[in-house]
Amino acid sequence: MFRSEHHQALSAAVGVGLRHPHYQDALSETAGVDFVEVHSENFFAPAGATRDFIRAVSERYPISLHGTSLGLGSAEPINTDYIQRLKNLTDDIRPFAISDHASFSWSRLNGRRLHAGDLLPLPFIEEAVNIMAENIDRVQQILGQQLLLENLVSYIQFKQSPMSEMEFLTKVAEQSGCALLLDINNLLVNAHNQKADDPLQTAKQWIDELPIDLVKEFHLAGYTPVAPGQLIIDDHSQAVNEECWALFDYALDHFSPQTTLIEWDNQLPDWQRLQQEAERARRHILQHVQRQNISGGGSHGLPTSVTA
Amino acid sequence: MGCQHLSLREWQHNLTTDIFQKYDVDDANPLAIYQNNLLMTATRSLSISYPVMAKMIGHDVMIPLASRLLKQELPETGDWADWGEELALLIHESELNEQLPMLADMARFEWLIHLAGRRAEVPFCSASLELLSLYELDELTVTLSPSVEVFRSHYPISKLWALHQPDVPDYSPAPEQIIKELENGTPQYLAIAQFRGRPAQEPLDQSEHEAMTELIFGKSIGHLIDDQTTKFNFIQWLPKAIQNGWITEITHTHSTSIQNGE
Repeated sequence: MFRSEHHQALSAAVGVGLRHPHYQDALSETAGVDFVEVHSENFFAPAGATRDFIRAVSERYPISLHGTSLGLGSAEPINTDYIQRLKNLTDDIRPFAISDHASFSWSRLNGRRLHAGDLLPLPFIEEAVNIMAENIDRVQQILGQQLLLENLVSYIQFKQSPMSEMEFLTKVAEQSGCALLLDINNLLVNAHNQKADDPLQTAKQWIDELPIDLVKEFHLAGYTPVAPGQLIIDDHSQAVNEECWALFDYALDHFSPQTTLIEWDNQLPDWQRLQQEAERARRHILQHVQRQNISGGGSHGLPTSVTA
Repeated sequence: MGCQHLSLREWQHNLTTDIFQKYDVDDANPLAIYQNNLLMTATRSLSISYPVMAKMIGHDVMIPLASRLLKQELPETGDWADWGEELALLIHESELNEQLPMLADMARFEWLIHLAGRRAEVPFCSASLELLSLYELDELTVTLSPSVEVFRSHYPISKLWALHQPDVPDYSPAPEQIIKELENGTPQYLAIAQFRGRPAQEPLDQSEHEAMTELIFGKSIGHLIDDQTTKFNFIQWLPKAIQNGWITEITHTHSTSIQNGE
């Protein structure tokens, strides 16, 4: 069994992504945020200012470690040194959640080892399921903690896939024992980029494909609008848009409330604006609870920070 | 795009090769998105590792530098902070070197500051001082801290670097300040190490710089003292080295480390 008790306790908590411009704000103003998510690789240095900082943060907030470089779908082996650095960090700050993406990163170029430095997409085929499940199992065994696997925005469309993205994620989770981190915004970006007639409806159908007990966290984000016909880039540069809030409501009804993160990485607003976004997410969760109570669906046992 | 006839490994190699090495990709091609992502991430990473360089030459010049560096030095570890070591060499061989000949040295200096800020700080093992009275100095050497590096330049790099502080994105010194430093500056010898959780730099004299370089290669204390070509004063240097966190212990060359007990 992997450590997961902290994650259970934070079910339905709302946090924000903590990025460099807000480091001092986060240490001085802790109200309004139930947890923070940081990018793992930014704190890999075993010593120095960044490690001191993340230790200080861990004394004030539960931390979710979100990676961008594990490359869990890589056919080339994941670099052992990378996993050891992640383990060193997790042993140090004891995050309640560790997540990364359903992507690949490790490869070779002209015979030399390469990390692609991006979240590269995978075809939804059995071979990719098996490779990703094996990689996740290896990392979970080393870390001693369950991973959360996030659905990806893909700018490449595969001509033929023997399974859908949701089938793919479900198979990987069932085979590896990981849970899923459902990025609500990524579903919508993919639906738009695939030219769905009704992107919101299409994203809802994708949600319906997922077993309700696999999803343990939601990501909410916004993107820069583009002209018709252009691909939307998942740039996390805007407030969560209304379409994303609507799909969040749908996901809450489908999966029940889960740990929820406001992701904002570029063109960052001030810390207070981020807290306002977190507050809005809480309101949506409360509205869900009210809907459940009216329809006799029962309570979800929300944590104090959400119900207060 | 399909991969029915390729193994997943082959397909992944092909995609990464296209991202890194396929040029003149049409903007409408999704590959261009991944190529642009890569370039922007690499540029941002360089600007974080080389903050003063980024101020001196500006974001618009950092982009082509990042692009060239990606062709020369591949990211390998999954941590962008590890990438960029070869920037100084790239600049030295570029047209920038003619216009701003101190720039390559600034890059070298900033990389050492970057490394020192990320490496472990190991306290000095004071018990190892006892070895100085037990053995001949020819049999003893000094183990340097994992974070320590030595640096030298014909330019006043440290002073130019200091001019670009405070560490706020838009702050730049007046050009005449830079010119004044360059005109009045003298060659610099520095030790750079992590000290109390932060990268720190201390001036050295030429003999100390040479001695620390020799220590990196394992030269004995006795050899350093006997070397008639330098004016290195070990007795004066030792307390300074301990105080600045440059050394971790005195070591007997043929026996076990006191600190590690190995």
